[in-house]
Amino acid sequence: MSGAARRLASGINGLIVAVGGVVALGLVTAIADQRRVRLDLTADRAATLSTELRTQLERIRADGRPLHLVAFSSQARDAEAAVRDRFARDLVRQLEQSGAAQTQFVDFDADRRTAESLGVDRYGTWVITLGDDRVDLAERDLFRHAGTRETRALQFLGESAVSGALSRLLTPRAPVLYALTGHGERRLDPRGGGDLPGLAAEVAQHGWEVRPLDLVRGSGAVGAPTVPDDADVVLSLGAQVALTPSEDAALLGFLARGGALAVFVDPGRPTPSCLARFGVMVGDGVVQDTRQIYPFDDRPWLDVAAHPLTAAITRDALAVVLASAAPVRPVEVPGVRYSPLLRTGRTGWVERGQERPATFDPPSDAAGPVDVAAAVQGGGPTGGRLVVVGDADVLTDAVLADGPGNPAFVMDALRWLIDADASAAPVGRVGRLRQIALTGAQLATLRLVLAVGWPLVPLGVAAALHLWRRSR
Amino acid sequence: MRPSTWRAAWAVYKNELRLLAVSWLGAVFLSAFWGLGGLFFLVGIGTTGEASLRPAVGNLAITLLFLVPMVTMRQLADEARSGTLELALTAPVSSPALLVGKWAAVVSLVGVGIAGSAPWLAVLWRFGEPDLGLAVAHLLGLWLVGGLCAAAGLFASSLTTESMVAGVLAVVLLLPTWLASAGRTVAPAVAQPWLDRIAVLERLRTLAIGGIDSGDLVWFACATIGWLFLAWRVLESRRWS
Repeated sequence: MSGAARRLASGINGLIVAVGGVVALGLVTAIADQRRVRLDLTADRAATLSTELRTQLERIRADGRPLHLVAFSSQARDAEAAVRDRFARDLVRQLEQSGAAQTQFVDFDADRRTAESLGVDRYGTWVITLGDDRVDLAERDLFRHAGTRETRALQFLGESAVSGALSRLLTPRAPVLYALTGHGERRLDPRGGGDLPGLAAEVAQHGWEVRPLDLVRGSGAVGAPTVPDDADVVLSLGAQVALTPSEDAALLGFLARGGALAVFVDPGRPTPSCLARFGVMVGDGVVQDTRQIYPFDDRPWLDVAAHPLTAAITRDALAVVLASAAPVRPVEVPGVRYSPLLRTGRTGWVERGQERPATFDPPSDAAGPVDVAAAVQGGGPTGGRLVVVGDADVLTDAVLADGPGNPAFVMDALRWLIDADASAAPVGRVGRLRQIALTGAQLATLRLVLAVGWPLVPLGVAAALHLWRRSR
Repeated sequence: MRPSTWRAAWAVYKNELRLLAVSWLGAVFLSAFWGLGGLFFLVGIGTTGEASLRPAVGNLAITLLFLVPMVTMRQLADEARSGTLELALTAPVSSPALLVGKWAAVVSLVGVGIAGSAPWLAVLWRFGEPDLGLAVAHLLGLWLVGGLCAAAGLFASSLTTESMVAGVLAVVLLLPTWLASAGRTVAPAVAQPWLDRIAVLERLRTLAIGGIDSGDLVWFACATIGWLFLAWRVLESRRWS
């Protein structure tokens, strides 16, 4: 064999071995990708999907319909955008890895076409579709700030929100919420607009169907007022005039049948008389407290009482803010269980005078602690449920957004009312940002040490070594 | 490898490590690594307020793509040009031993660089509430990237006698694995799973959130072994040419 032929044979042989080796390694990686084993090193198991979410994903697999998730980025100008997008990307990635969903993270600014095709016009929106059904999650469903002024931190509710969305997609019937009308109530319009657009969006995103309810006109000319059979919850949103006795009777009958009623009432306004017969009443005056939400003098600092409805709010240390609240107190009725939800501390009182600033003047003013929201549960298996809040302003966009725990409080109240205690607390875990706090001076010092001083160490050692060797 | 091969690899490793320790190259590498890393770290915690190495490590991984080939580019190319490679290959040092020894020395240098991130961790612990497991996962990812870059750099260095060409070639060889994630968004659907398979960033995502995925570890191991294997084939072809 000539030298050239030998080199050619050797070259071909080498090429075959090289290609064979690379193919073998490719096969090994392919097999390893099929048989993955995962280890979570984090303290709060952030690298593992929660049990609740994995359960929902199993249900999705069993359902058989394809699950798609498109997550849009946060607004880049937002100081927290990088962290929000990071949280979002991580969860999207984990969902993709679960094999139950096809996911896509979309830069809202760079890819407007995808946003337009899905009808998305807000940063940070997530679109989840299961077959033909779709649920949108707004950024406020995914993130919130929790803690006091000193400990305020961003929380990621992605697992909880996605779990909830999947649950809604898998649930055939949406719970129906009837909003009372005809007494000057604030208007809850599910199509947007109305007096409470923020609340309307919130309940829609949580899968509720909202319908107006006029007990008098809705019952027709002959029948007595009655609550529709498909009503899960009836909502009274700050009625300005009293209900008629027949309307009161209709609500009481609804509660007696195991129905659920939520009443938000402003101070000095009439309340349905059925409340007192169900173990709760709204008193005169306005609740005040020397502990106030700065800079407002009508927003007392409220303690959250232990109750299944408030479990999530308590756990996440979310503040609930009410403005100019009326006192709520129990009425002795056999067989019903009254539980306070929100109350002032001992520094609170019921102000019945007109003086400004308000001061505690016994005996006309009643001493605290004062309840401003309560839950009442009827006895027996068909016992109705009632939530009374001494403030209807809490539902307005301004106050709803002012209290970090306000949307959670309202939505958890609705969930508790339909006996969804298990879901009253957010499903899944809350991802929290592990923060670092540095002053400007500390940062400047660290910049000097870490970006200048520390990198000079190896150069200094090398220079010393060089000089030492030269001297020898 | 036979015991004698391991002994030879150990001897090569010690020699390479000594050379890196006494030369300016190792010092400049560590200085650049710690300087850039410190900068990334401070910018990261400054902009996100998060007690995590993640922003620093993410950027450092990309930095390694350029820094490591600067170290490896001389290792075989210079020896081939000066003729010492032929000497080494005729001595009782097999090609795998030579490659493993040189690769391990560079990986050790990267390891020293990673160990030098201790002051960053100290800052996190002093002023924040970091997650130790998450930090370990981040540093492990960085070390895996360092090993991969070192292997690709050695392969590039085995292909040429010009060290600068070897350095540039290593970056060119590694770039597709870095750009695959970005290319995924514009690639046709049929190509996307394949891009995911070769994308380094995709393989780092689980480590980035504090998890260790056996599939990703095997991928890094196979990719590293693959580059070293190709370098071995080049050296073998040179031995017999």
